Amino acid sequence: MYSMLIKLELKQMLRSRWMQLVGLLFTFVFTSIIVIQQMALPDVEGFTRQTASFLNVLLFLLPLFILTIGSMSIAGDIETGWFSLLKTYPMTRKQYIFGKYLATVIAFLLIVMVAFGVVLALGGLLGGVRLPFIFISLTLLCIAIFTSLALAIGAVAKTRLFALSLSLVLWSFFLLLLSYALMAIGTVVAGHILQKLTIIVMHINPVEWLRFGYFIFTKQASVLGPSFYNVTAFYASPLGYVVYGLVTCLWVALPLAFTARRLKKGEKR
Amino acid sequence: MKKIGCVLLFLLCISSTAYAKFDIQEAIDRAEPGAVINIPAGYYKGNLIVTKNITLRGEKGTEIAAVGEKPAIRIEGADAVMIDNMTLSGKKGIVASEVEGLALRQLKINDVHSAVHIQHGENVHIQHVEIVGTQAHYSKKGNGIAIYQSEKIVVEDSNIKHVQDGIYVEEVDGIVVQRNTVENSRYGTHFMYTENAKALNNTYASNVTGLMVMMTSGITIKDNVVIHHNDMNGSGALLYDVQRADLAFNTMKNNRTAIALQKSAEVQIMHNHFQMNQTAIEGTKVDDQTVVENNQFTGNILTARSDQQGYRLSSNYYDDYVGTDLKNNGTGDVPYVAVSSFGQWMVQQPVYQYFVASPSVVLLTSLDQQINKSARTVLVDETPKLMKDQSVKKVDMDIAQFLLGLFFILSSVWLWKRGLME
Amino acid sequence: MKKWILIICVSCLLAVGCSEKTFKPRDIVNETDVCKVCNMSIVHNEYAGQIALKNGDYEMFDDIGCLIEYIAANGDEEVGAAFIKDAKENKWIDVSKATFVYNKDYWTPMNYGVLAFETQEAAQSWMTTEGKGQVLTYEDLSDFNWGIHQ
Repeated sequence: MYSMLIKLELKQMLRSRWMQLVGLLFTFVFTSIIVIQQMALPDVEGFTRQTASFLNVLLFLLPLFILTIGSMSIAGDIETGWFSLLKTYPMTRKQYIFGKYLATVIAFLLIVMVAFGVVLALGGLLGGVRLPFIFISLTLLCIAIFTSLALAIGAVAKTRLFALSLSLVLWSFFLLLLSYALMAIGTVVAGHILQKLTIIVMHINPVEWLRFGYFIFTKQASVLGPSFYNVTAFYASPLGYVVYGLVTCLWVALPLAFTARRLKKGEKR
Repeated sequence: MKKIGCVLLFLLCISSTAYAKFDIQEAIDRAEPGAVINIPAGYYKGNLIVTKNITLRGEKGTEIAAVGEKPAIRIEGADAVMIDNMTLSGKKGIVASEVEGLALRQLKINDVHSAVHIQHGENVHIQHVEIVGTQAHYSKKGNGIAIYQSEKIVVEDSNIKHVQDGIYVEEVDGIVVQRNTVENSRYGTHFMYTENAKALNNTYASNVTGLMVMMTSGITIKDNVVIHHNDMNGSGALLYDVQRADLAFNTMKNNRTAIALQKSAEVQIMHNHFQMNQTAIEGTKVDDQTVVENNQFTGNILTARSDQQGYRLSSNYYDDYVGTDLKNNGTGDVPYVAVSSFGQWMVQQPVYQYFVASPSVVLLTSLDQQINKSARTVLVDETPKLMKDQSVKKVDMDIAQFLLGLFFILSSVWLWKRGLME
Repeated sequence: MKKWILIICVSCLLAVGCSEKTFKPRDIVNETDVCKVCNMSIVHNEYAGQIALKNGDYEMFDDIGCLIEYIAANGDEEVGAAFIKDAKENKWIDVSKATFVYNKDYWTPMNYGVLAFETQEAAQSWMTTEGKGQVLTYEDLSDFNWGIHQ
């Protein structure tokens, strides 16, 4: 029964025109930017414009697609009454959420796999394009975290349109607005306050968290500057790795738990 | 004083006799000025003192190990001394003062705190010296080659690693530093209060800063390769309070800041290659005689940043220039705007460094370049160059990678299909 | 969301609140500290100086000369307290209460040749052992000619 549900969800997900379009779009944009950047520039280890654009393409596109599609899928279930129908089957809410989560993750893994495949194949033909391991793992983390967030948004929104707008708001908030707000605050407060705020934002903004993870795991934390020496030194230690893992797990677990609570509340009403 | 003398004498006694049969100090003391002392291979422990014009020549396997705080060889008040072909070890290598005419050649100086220290020297020629420091943090170490209050110095073909400053130059008039390699140290070459300096054909890699030039007037920095200076506070070259500097034909690659100028005047940056640096050129309090001309900027995250004053950019090639050249004269039709709000914030407040190339900043910078192009007064290149002969990157096919990629595509498409069927 | 804003506000207040106390010198971090004025990384801790700004930030200096230059350029309205290492004891002392000894042969990171001492006696005894030097007060430093002296 349970595996049936996952299969069903996955089928729905893969069948949707939206998803197929997103798959094509992501593959196209990702590949063109990566290949153009890497072809044009000399190969250098470390943080350069090409790794920066690599990272930014990932952080810009993937959360956008996952948030919109994931949230609309669960909101759609509620909107169309599919969720109410499912509840008549012998299946718990947790199983439903988990099934949804897994289906979305698998669907995006497929998309990313296509995109990476194209990059690798083209790179193999043209030469000089590589796909560092850290980017692959970061992509997986990104999918895990943002799918969870997408479900939470969908559970709040309840209609597809609201889910779409809410995820767009949240996306721009995570990617742009929070940083701009921080930079604006920085012009009036002292450096050490800005530094502390930045550290807080780093933990409460999954985009920043993934970006920070990139610098930590590639041992390029010096890019972030001397002001963050203590934080980066901590996260570069074994204990720091454990804490990083824990915080990441929280980012997956908390939105899922929130979704469950939200859906439960909805039922009671 | 007497006590120290006694200790010294005692040390000398045990030193020269303990390990090898040949007593170098005795040979030095007996030698006529101008003599050549050949030191046979062997391990000598001691602290030699040279106060007359002689040549000490070792052979393969000659090693002198310094005892305690004193250097292996101390040279004082002589005017034609040559130390040739030997290995030195211990806390300090060579300390020379009041020498006119000193040549150090073919030396290996290992595991030292500070290797060569010269004070009040003239006509000093150092070549083919290999220095390896200890593995501690740079704040706990001494310098590789340190030269104070001297004139007419040449340091060439030397390799220096793991020290504080590879070549430290203070109050020197006339120095040429060429064909050296300095790695994994604090500063590759550190000029302070120096006049008429030249740094040519050196390689600086993975130091905190490659070339640190401070309070210096008249320096030529040419044909150097400066790479991998991306530590927290690292720069390829940092010029502070420098007048009349000439940086030409250098390759600055993968540095946090390739060239940083502070409080400097009449700096000419020409025909250099800036590749893959986080910031290519940063300038604060730079005078209006400072020009950046005919350079190539490729793959830098930020090309230039400055305070309000700025500096002059002219006829450089920028790989992120988007203008066209309809007149086909090799020069772009619209100016290149290098200034970005983010770059200027970063100059003011180091905490902003955190946002370097973050998604929000990338968007901001590209907006910056679109808006207000004409209103900018600083960091605008009116005549950006376009490359005519773009060298094509060598293409080597990687069949394995291609097949792997193909496998990924096919298997994911197949999985997608399967997901639809069931 | 509200919680986050609250957390940010509280931590802001905390950060501001903490800095309103008396100004204390902070430890040198050799890995990251560079002189605010000349940009040299601080490796000779025994000559280092620092300014605790009123907003809670710290500016580090490698040499007393750079510290004075910073104050001359930026004024002292923002300065909460300024500290310099005692040349003999290697501990932080208040710049305005220190006694300074100058001689062109004293080496400092910028080679300005000015050392700081907590007491007048310490300065005197240093000069006696070294056999040279000239006493300067904090006021003398502001019109001191920084640079090397032949």
